[in-house]
Amino acid sequence: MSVNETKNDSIVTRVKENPGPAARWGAVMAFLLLLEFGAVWSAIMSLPWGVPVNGIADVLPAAIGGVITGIAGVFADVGNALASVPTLLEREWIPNQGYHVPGEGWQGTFLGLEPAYAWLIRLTVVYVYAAVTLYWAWRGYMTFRRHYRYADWTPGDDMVDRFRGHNWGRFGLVIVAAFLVMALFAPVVSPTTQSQNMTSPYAHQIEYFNDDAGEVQTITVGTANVGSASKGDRQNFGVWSYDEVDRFHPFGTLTTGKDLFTFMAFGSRISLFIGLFASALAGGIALSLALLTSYYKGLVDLATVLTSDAFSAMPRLLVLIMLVVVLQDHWISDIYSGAFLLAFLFGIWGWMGLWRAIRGPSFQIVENEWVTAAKGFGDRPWSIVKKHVAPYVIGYLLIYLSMSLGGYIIGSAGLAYLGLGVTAPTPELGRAIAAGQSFIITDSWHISVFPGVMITLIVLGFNALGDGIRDAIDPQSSSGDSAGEAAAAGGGA
Amino acid sequence: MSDSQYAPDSRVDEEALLSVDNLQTAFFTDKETIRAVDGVSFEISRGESVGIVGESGSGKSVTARSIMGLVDSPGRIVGGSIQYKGRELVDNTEKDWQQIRGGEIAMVFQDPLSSLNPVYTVGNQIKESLRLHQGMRGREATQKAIELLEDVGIPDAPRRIDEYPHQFSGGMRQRAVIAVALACDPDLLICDEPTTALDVTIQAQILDLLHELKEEKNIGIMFITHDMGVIAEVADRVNVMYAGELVEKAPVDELFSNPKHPYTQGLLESIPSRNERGSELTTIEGEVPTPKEPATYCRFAPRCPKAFDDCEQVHPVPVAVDESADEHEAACLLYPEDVNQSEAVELHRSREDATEQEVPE
Repeated sequence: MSVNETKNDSIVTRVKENPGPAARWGAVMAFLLLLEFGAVWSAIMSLPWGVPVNGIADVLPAAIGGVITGIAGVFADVGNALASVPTLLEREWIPNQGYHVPGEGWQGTFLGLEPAYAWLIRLTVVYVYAAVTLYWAWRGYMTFRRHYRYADWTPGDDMVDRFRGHNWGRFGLVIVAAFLVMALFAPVVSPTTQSQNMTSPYAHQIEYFNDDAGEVQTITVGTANVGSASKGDRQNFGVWSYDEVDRFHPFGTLTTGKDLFTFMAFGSRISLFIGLFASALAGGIALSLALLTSYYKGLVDLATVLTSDAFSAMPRLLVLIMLVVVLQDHWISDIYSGAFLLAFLFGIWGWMGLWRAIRGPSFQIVENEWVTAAKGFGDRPWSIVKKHVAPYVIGYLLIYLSMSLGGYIIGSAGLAYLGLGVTAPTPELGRAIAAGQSFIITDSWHISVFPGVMITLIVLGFNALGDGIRDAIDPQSSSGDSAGEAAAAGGGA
Repeated sequence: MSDSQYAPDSRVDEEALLSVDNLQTAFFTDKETIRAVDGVSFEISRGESVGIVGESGSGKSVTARSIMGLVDSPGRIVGGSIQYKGRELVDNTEKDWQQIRGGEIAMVFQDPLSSLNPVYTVGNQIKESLRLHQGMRGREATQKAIELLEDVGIPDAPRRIDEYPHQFSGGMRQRAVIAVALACDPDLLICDEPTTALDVTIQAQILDLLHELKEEKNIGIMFITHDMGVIAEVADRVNVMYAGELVEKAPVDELFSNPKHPYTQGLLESIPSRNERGSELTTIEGEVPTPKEPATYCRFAPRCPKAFDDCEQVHPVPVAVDESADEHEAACLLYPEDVNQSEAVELHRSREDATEQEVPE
């Protein structure tokens, strides 16, 4: 084939010329995604849409506000309908909640299996599905690279290869992926549901076989929880145990009798939200300021340096505690039970280190002649920095962000440990640690230890991933380079 | 886009496109004030190519950047006026400058290797200019970009448009930069040493290209170079710059056949090909001084073979070299030629007193 042909073609025409690999890949990917279509929607619907909509509706005059809430209601109905489309990974397919009748075995569980095994099967299915989907996404990239990409080789290939050979980074990737899957599929991997376990235990009833009465009886979840609380040596439902109403607790129960694994799975959602939102906010501020200061220099730069110093000079933890307390009754504290406020504050107090880290590279890039040339051709300042400077510094920013993300997660857990920030019923790992603290030397050691280990692993994973990406992007950096860590070390509350 | 604002009325043809009068640009550092451009005046009309020539450090590029409003801090324009189509540019705000840059005055920079962003395709960068200044998008812009690349003589333009700058050779990259500038549809093109980084054959092609563009599009070109050979090729009129001042201005033929200022004469003598084979190459000893204080003397005097005592005391102003040549001016105490020397010195002295200006700190 002549050079002429391939070069002018867009990816679409290239796929048309050789549709085989793309079609095969696309079909499998579509199948995989279709299996979980409903879950995607329920994830979208689980966002707190009500808060902004109601917030707007409250501010506006009643008539307009009513219309807005009406429209939002229609969207909510459609969303809920889509969300209820059955998916492959639904807890109903592989139920683990049942009861044991002596002589008759387990009732209501998957194939009459013991709940522990039913739950384990479901967990495995979820992780296998996630692994296959991730692998298939990777296959997609490889298919593109092999069949459709114009260039035989790009610098990106080397980065990917370097990352593939980076064990520490791969370890981070695995941890982060496992954490993400847990957060995404929290409703499925949990042994019980969020509603039963946390939000309204007294609205649900479960059946169990009462040995004394010799018959199946019903009991509210709330009442059952009283009997399943882990309270140290007196009464404990530890790792891999069944409580008195035959509910299975892979990681044991909390002091309130609630299931710890469910708490952690949903808690990881909150942690992830805080981490991502705070990172996005801090990164956005840092990037905007870096572009602004590198373009205008001089006074703007000086002002930003002073502002950044001022922000850094305020003890972040104390300011956060103060603001969380002060804003306790404000509506902003209601979004995600305060997780939004926390993420917001972390973002507002998190940009300084990031900005400093990318300010230097920005100053360097902006001195290139193509920036002057763009100026000379009448480009607007913002589009100059966006087009000609930002692409060069975003790489740095992402690395620093992946490292500081762990800090935000630790920070929110730390505040929750102190009883601030994310409030009940929204789960937050720090609160479990605090609750289990007094039982740490008793049989109920699991209450503190599992959430603690999990936070450690998450942060470790994100840092390892960041290390790996940095080494992949920049072949010159060695893993002993301290510049990145110094900039990212901000998080710990 | 911004054309309506500068509607070409009948006046434009008669009046100069750009007229720079006594332009002064200074850089204020902690230690001293450097008067990089110190009282420069010249004019450029449509369809005319004006060369500015001088050694490194004589203020050529700063003049160009002043006209574009691209002088970086700590430098700024401290005096004089730049009239573009009869409109004053010196006290423009940044917003006004954006109206001027690109669409009215576009600039081609010295180094084609670095004035294209390596991460965008050449087509992408041309289209960006088209979008900004001619409001073209999508297929239309692609078509126009291909045309522009063909205009600047890049073969196989439809294919080349999707290539990255590193896939272009140096000469082609400079052509691409010119295409980006032309995409803005400017009336005045400032070329800041556009051929310095290129080898001689490519240089000639680029110069031909600029000549054609000037004829076809009837634009004014300001051409900056330190290369007398290039100036001879490209310019209609030439301004010779030395230490922030214009020392001689003349039509190109006149300048080459009849150079008046000792500095111009020195420059011409130091062109290797103009010398006899075997004879030693003439050079101008020393280097361009950095102009730090207002000129009360001739800045070229220390290097001038014809310097006399008054050169240290009197600042020469541009005067017609003799009565017959109204287009040929030189700032040298030796001229006008048709009066005797003391009269000439007196003339310079009196004119200098009339125009003397202080740079405000």
